[in-house]
Amino acid sequence: MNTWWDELQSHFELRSKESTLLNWRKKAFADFQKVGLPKQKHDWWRSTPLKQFFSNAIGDAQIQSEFKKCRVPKNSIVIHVQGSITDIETSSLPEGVTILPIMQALEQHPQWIETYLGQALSHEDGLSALNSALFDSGVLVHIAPGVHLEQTIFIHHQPACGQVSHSRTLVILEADASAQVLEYFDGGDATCVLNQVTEIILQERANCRHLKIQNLSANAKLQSMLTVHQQESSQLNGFLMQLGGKMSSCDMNIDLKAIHAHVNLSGLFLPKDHQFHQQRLSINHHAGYCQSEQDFRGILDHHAQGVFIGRVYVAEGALKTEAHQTNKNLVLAKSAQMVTCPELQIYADDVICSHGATVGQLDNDALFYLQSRGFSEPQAKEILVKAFVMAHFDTISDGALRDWCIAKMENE
Amino acid sequence: MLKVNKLHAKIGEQEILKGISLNIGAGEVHAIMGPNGSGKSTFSKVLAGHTDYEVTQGSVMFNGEDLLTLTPSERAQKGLFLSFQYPVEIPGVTNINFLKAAVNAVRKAQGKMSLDAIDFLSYIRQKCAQVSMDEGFLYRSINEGFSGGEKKRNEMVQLLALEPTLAILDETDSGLDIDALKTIAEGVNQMRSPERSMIVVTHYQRLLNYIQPDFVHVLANGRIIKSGDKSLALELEKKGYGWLESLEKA
Repeated sequence: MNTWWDELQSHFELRSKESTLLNWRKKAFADFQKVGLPKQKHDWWRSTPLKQFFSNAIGDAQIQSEFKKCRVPKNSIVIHVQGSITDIETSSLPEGVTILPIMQALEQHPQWIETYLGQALSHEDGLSALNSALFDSGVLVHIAPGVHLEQTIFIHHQPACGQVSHSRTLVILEADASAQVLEYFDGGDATCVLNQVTEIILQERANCRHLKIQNLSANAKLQSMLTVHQQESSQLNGFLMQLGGKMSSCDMNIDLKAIHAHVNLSGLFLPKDHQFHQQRLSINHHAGYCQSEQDFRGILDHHAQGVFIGRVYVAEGALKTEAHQTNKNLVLAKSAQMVTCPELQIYADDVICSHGATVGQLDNDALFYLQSRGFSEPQAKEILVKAFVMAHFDTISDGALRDWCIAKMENE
Repeated sequence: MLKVNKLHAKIGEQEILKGISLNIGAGEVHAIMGPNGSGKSTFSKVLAGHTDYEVTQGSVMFNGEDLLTLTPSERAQKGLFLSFQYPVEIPGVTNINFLKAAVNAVRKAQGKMSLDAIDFLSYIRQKCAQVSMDEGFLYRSINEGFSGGEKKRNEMVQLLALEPTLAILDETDSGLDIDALKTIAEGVNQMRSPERSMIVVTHYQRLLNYIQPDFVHVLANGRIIKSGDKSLALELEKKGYGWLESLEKA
């Protein structure tokens, strides 16, 4: 049976036969070897049940030949990513819009790859370094200056069964460009691990909406990192929803590199049974006059576990920074567990920063109020649970997309 | 309609109701008065089935059925309504959606046809008009940011819309100015009918000028210590509760 390390070593040997990016990948692999796999004593990983994450030795790669379809939001450009396969379901794209399998982009657009790949990703975490060394699927999106893409870029990730896969999405929005990207994760019926990284580069005044919906099967494990570089007056609206999977960690690292950049992140995680959902955010205000908002809500049932870590860093000299963070959690069962840690590191004066975290149960008085109006206990609970999350969907301005996301949640 | 027999109830280890007996016939309005902490609100909540309270002794029959075995929602479906002293704010649930679902949940249980969106709208608008509630409140979250008076009006809209056979009004007058009190009392009076009974819980006689009770009971220390007609309320207003309590001790 293969161990993780053997597996990784042989994967890398396979990758290192490619000529493109050889040195870059070698460096990434060296970074990985230096840092190694995540360890429990690392601050960043202290609340993650790591043993479980790395418990299964993954057998030989079995790539599912057939891709499970899913309902797609209206007016979308659809891309499927599974194992080492990336497939784009479109023939013509608007002018100024490039969407390609990333492996193909390595050959066709080396200028973008050399300039941007890895720019927004730190290799301080072993799994990120490993992704750089090993990714063999994913998508490159490039939007030319001033181009507004009306359609939604729908990236459908399905982990290949029985495999550890590494995929990479690189989204570049040049100055004044705008686009909407939805990354949807489902499938993964047999035991599988997906290590996925999305890098987004937002140039001056670029505007990006990014949605990530995690709806994996009960045995799938996911480590997913969204890392963003924002230049002056750029805007990112992020929305995360975690529904499925066995263990899933959706992390975000946002670097506000120049003044007047604005990021707004909202998230929902709804683990139940024995699911583990983690979200770790790191928002870095490197320049002044930037704004960040984070609003994350969790509902935990049965034996589920949840983790929210929200770091906000305000660099020296990042004056007039405004940063707000909230994390509210509803724990429905005695055996469910939630860990929430806000962390503010502020090295500048004249800033406005706030944070708040709560972990609580359903309000007994509200339950009784609804029951006294004729709703059964399960109905009353459902109403309150829905009320707790529904306002979050209002942050999605595109109506069709909002309805699509609500339908996904309601199916669960 | 309602027969309460030697009802005892506690919250945690503290006994609050210490043997209440009360009979309410169809169409009757009973006022329950009493000083702070006498158990008035507890009595209302126990009748509606609040799970914080445990009934330790006694029985409550509602239209021939054992009320205490029913869940709060079953009680509502069978025609019991509690107007809350402190209506709960529920952010994220639109008032009109809540009202429509509540009305239809109760109608369905009573074997009546559900109201569709259009019928419901005209139905609920008429109820709002009866208690002078601005229709704008229908489209806000339940009670969220409502003033004390607005919350009470919203309770009255629910009372009118759910058409219960037994309505319990728990301190409906608290937090109301005199004009709002009149409007709400008018709404309640329109609901009076030979088939519908009411329990009006209040501190003060004032509300009873507008909603005239058939019977008045004084609750103190978890028991009814005196019952009478509406003149008892006037006597209490003059003399306070002290004379009754000292009467009981003697």
